[in-house]
Amino acid sequence: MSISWVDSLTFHANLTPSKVALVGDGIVFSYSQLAAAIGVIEHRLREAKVRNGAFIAVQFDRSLEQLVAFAATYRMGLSFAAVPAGRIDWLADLGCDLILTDKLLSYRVTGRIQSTPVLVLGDSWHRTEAAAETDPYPPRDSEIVALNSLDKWDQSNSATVITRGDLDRRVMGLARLMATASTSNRVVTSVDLNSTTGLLLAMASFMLGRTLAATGKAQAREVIATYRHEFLVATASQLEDLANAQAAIPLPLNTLESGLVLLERGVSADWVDRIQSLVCPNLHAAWSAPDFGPVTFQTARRLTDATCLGYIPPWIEAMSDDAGKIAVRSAVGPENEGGWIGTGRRGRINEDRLLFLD
Amino acid sequence: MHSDFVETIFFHARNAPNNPAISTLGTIVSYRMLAQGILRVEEKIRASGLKQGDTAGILVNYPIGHFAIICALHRLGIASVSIYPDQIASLNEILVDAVLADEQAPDVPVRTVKVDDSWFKSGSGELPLRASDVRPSPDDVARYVLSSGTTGQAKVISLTFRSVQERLESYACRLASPGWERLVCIPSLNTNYGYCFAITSVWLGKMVCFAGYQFARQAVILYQAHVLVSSTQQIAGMVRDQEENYMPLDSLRAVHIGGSVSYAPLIARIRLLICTTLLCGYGSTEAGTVAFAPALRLQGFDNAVGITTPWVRVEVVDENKRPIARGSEGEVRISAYGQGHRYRRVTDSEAEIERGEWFYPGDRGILYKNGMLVILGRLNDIINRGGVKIAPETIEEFAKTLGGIRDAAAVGVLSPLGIEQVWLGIVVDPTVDIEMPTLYAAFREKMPNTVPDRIHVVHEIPRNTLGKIVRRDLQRLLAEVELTTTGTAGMSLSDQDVKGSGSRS
Repeated sequence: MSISWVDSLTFHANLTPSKVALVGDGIVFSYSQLAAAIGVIEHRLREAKVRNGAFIAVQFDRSLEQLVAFAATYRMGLSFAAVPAGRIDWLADLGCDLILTDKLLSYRVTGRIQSTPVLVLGDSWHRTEAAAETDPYPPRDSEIVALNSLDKWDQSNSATVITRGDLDRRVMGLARLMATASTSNRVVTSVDLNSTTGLLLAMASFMLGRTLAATGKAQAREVIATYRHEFLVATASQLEDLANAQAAIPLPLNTLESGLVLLERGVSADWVDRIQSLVCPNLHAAWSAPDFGPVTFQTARRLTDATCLGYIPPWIEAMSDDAGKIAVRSAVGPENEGGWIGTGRRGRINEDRLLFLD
Repeated sequence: MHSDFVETIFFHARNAPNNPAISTLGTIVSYRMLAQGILRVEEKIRASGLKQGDTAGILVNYPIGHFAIICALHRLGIASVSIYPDQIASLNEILVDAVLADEQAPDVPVRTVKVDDSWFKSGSGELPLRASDVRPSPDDVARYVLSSGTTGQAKVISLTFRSVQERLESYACRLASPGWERLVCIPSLNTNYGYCFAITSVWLGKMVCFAGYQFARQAVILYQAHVLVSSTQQIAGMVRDQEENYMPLDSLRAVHIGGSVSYAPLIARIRLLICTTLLCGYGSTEAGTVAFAPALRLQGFDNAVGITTPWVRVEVVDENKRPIARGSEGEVRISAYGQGHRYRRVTDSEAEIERGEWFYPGDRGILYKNGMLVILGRLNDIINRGGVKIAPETIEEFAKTLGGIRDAAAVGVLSPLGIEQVWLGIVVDPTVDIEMPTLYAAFREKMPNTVPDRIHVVHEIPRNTLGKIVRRDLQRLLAEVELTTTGTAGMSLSDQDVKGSGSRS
């Protein structure tokens, strides 16, 4: 058993229904609206006689629908894979039980995928249809959930299969980092919600009952300045762009109390100083492995070496083999019983558990 | 199993060594200092002969030292139990190998290891922050908590290493919103409530400050705390202090209270005088936090205690223990992530742990479709004095041992603030001259945790034909006597309201 991110979302919908859960794609969703939207898709899937354990391929133009669809499939104990809008051919290869898509994309799918039923959501599906009444925390028999998001498809056209418990633990791990790094409620991110990291970030935000604003990096500063967000999550390159823009034309970002930078590479002390002075005064840094989640975590001001990605926290075990390949696994919970997960990177780990990448 | 909780303190000690970890009103300890303190205590504990799998009692008044000992024992795979001097008798209920004590405690039934300042002071420089080489099984007991219990009788609840880990996650979720950095915790470490909030704070790299309710306001102001944690009893004391001498507590973003159902008059005063964001919780030592909600969310719902949390399964069952439909009244049962289990000592060398799936707190309630839990009352006559459960029979039996008392019966009566108080009705022998101060003194001496808030003399205790006390009639009778003797039907807030600490969360 673990604490489920969808159950947490449902809990917050009952606890603080009018609190804003998600802002993005021109839509503002409160927790109750988000829970209702999940209920609508769940209801539609039940109407389509989708059974527990079925595999649903999802193809939407907007990340919001993808997120809601994922939550609905998760609640129902289904497996889920998101397929990029341009890759209709992959849908045929997946062997899924149903394709869930929106009206716009359905025209591309209809007629081309003969063997799989297609469920189409209308334009205003989340406003017009009544949600089904369900148990707040329904039991879920299926333990397997396939999480796949668009960036994964860019690397290979295979789904990442993980168990529901592993996914929940991964979300909890990120939620824990967010809770440690931030002292505030309103989170803003320029990480694409269509990416695995973006999806996990949204789930962690819902688990904590936070307000998450998703914005493109071009609008991030305007969004922060207007809506007075307090905690920023961004990649190192996105933060660099923000700092450059601030250096050219400063906007009032003084509400930003803290931030979490998702490292793609090591950064220097000067880099950290610049970001902290121009964008966000209290910065934490984390580096994530694609199929695992955050591997390192620390206060950014202690990053002093451009090859160093930070401390490996005690809840993660890490090793590098003779060839320098870094592998990781969780030190807590049943994941520990599983094998090591390769990070695809080479480097070394010193005795203080600092990770240096080649 | 990996000791995530204490190893994470060491992680923070490397990552943010000078950040504050734990404090009292006069002292702040950083993560580096806390980690060093834990390592030094660990050496002393090893030297005392305690080893993995043992159980140690902690009888240390100073909260920072107490907390360091809890952490060191956890890291060594030794189960800990925090005790107060008036709980020493409870040690007979647990198979304890030694008690770590900072003062002479003559009645301790096992070996005592003296704790002094040298345990915490730095000697020869910094100790290396090495990882623990002890890996206890997830099902080994990590912690015992002495609970006032749902039956009103003291009982022992065991938490395994797995349960502690799971509680860290659930309490982190409970504390997630609003965001915070510094927390003032009034409940002490010997309660589940204080223990869980304290370990979660340091797990998240935040600061926890321990302060009694008398000094909690000063602690909030001194550390500009964002969150205050309190039992219902304790917050009632703070409310009274605020009414007498108001101090603005502007830094507070939220107050978490638990212990017993909070009623509108107290909630209104807390929101007015302490913090507008008030989160009321319902739970137990066995299950942790079962339900909670902002006070505003509960407004208008009689006896609502909160929305059931995603880390518990709550069912309402009939007399045959079969689940009944949502919205129907029945007995509440709970199965929780991080569930604790009842521990019982069987012989001098054996103990058993009841590992049932469900925990029955003894409450009658209704669970609605939206997760809202309403507690309608108790299945028995237990009095819940702001979180401390008291069996009326224990008071009655003791009262009857005092000379000149022919009969006695105790009931719970709500104070104007909504905290249940203990009222005792006695029938006295007319040939004996009984003085009330003597009665109170006898209770204070022999049963300090169950001193009645009111003792009234009545002609007879209302009983049914089978001789069972009719407690509702007794409540009415005592209220009439109160009206006659004091001129008020209700109670004012007495000292007893704010003594002790709640075990429910």
